[in-house]
Parts: sequence; structure tokens; C-alpha cells
Amino acid sequence: MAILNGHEVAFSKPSFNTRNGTLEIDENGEYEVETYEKVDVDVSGGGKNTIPLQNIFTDIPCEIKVIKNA
Amino acid sequence: MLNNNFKNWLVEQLYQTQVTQKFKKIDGTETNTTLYAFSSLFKANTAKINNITASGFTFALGSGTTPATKEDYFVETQIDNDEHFSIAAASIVNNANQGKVICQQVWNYSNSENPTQEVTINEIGFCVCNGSGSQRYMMAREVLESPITVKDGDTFSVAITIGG
Repeated sequence: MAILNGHEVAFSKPSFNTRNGTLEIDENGEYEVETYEKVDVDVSGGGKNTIPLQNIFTDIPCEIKVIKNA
Repeated sequence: MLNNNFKNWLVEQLYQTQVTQKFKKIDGTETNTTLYAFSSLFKANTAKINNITASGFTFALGSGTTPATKEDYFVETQIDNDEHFSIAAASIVNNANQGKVICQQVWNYSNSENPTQEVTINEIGFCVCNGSGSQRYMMAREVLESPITVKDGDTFSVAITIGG
């Protein structure tokens, strides 16, 4: 599960659209993340959407706080 | 700001299995490994980043002020690597209903030799250890909008909220 724009997102079997149209993983299981442009995800209760991978990354809220004497 | 290490871990979650990825350790060296079981790294730990050897999270404190980027692999200028700083407690809150996790630690600063000496904390790094002293990674870094200054006897809490 992940959070996308405040909604839980359940990832199905990942299917990636790359610039070359094919996801290639070498014999060591390595690949270049940067080749991914979009990822298909199943949105809970909302069917399937195709979302740019970078959007998923940047939409995850993250906040660090430091409070003195707390 | 969540960095490229976190992004690469996220891609592993898309695969729902272990996938070798390029991660940068806190010393800047790049390694091909998997951090798929990152959830197991969300364990409370009271060891500082230079001492942590068990799976868990910890924070690094710094004085750097350069704005955070996704390319950051550690705090700019570490200041917690001495005996004056210690971690008194650590805890974690998993709130699945809100889709967020909160990792927090309580820190002490003790310097009886120089009780008036002040140290300013400008930046925080959220780090994890993958069960070995050689597997330490930063996943997020933030430069504080309001830095805090501590001296002998002060206590402060550090917390990161991801998601929600």
C-alpha cells in the first residue's frame, strides 16, 4: 500500500511503460529506474489509473520536526 | 525531503519482491542491494548512526544549512558524533488507517565540563540500518526552518512523519 494524494493506493502486479516499450531486467535483476515513465496502479475503489512514477514519489508527505524540552 | 534512496525502495515495493537497486550509504559509496524489507527497518532504536548495527531507524543531527535535495545521502555537517549527545528513548507509531508512520526519538545533551556551551542543530537526517554496521542509509533530510540551540541538560525530541 502507498499513499497518493491522500488516498491509499494498492499496487497490482506492476506493469511499467518504458521509453522503449519494454521493461528489461538484466541477469542480476538490475534495471535503470530513470527509464520508467509511468506505472499502472489499481486505485482502491477507483479502478486502474496510469500515473507517472515521479508523481507518486513526490506526493508522499514527509515532515521532520524537532521540539526542545518535549 | 525523501531522497533517492527512499524512491528506490519505493520501486521495490511496486515489484512486491526483492529487487537489486542502487542505494547510497551515508559515506557516499554506492551499493547494489535490496532494502525491500524496509518495513522491518521501522524499529525503534536508541543507537546513534555511527554506532547502530541492528535493524532500525535513527536520526543524525547536523549544523549544515544547505537546502535538502533528493541526491543527499547524509547530513551536511554531522554534530552528534560525540559523547555529549545521547538518545534516551525511541518509539514508532504505525497508523495504517491514516496511512502514515511516525518515527521519533528523545535526545539528551550533556556537557557538564562546559555548561554554557551551546550547540545549534540546523539539519536532521532520517537514517536506517539494514542489520549491519556497514549497511547504513539516509532516507530523508530536512533543514529546520527554526533551528534549535541546546546546552548542558537540555532534552529534545526528533520526529519524522511519512505519509498521511
